[in-house]
Amino acid sequence: MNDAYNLPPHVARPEPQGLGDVLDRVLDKGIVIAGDITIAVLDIELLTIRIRLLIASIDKAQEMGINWWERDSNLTSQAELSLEGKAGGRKAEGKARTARSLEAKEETHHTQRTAAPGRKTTSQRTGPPKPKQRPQTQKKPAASSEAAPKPAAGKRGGGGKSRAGPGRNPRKSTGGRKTAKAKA
Amino acid sequence: MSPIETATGCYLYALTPEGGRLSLCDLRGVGGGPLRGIACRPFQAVVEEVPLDEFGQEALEHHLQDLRWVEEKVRTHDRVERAIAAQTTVLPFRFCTILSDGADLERLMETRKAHFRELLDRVANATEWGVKFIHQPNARPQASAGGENGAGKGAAYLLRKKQELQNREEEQREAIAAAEGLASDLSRFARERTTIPARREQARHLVLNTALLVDRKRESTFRARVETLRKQAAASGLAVELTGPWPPYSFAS
Repeated sequence: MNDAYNLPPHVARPEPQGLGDVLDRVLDKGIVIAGDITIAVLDIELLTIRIRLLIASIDKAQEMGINWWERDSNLTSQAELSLEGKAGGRKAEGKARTARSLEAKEETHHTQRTAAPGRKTTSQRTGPPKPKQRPQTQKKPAASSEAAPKPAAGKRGGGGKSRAGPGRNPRKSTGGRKTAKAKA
Repeated sequence: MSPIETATGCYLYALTPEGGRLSLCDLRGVGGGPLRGIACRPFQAVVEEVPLDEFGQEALEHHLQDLRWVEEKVRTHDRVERAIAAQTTVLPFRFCTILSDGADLERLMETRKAHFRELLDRVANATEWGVKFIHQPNARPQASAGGENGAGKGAAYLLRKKQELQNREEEQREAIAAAEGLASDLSRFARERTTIPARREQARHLVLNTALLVDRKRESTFRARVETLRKQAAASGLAVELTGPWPPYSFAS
């Protein structure tokens, strides 16, 4: 099949693509076997929605001056410093996006985005951008992972979504239930 | 019911035409395991056995809150698709397409055979290229809106602001039209073209994000054309960003 072509060396490339471009394709494109929920372990559409929500919430945080992909593991205040410390295209993209979103912020902070449900984006700021200031200050500390001093993975996302006990079979049968929730 | 710790699922990366021998041994998949090519006539499926304690419904609830996890897995998924694309025609599945077992895979192939065949033909010997048209605002100087003609300072300011806004909107409209024109020029060198919807944070400057399915044989012509168009684009206040080659993600559904 492949012998007639001199194929481009996809493998050898050092991943110049920005994460955004990869996500646009890997998350939103490609074959979906959504109609075949009975044979898939997961509901792919739901999964995609969940990841988009996560990213939207992080974009929101990033809009407020935090660069999630430049961040060191648990030091939110180093977001800006780490911009300087990392290599290549991601750095450039991070900078560009920061610039863009800071610029955009002026217009959007009072119109307030509605993309992501409040659960992950409850922190709204109205002042000028101060990257190092933590975005929360209202409500619960777990509202944003950026704001939480430690990874609060277990706490977030609990809103309304029941976390089932460890004994439940995670396969097949849960597909339909999840879909219903996604639409709710 | 087997304990979750030992349960596995079948992570389905891609379909390729049957018969091509794939070299996948250098690669590890999203679960850290080896990749396998499974013959499912008339295709070959590339799969990995993944532990459900990482990829089951429960586990994903947890992992999907961790962007680092998501990024790592998404990039690994992409890397696998690229590795396959480098060897043969590939039909990529959506991230985290996980089946219960091989029997489900067979059933899937049976029920969707015609569809998959059609899609494989569609992307055969072609790669995807991403072209973004990014508006560079303030490329032209803003006309001053007559702030000196006797109006008060405040009024003049407002007038100027309004004029600037109008200019900006007009510029934006022109940029969109120009980008559309350039993109349709490019599609003459492609089999197909599709638009990738802009996400919110990009909406301001990203005028058009388009994906083109280009014959491998025409890649160099296509790329040369992109270079030519850059100048034209710049005259319209647009920067052109080219990415690729990608596996044909945008043309696989």
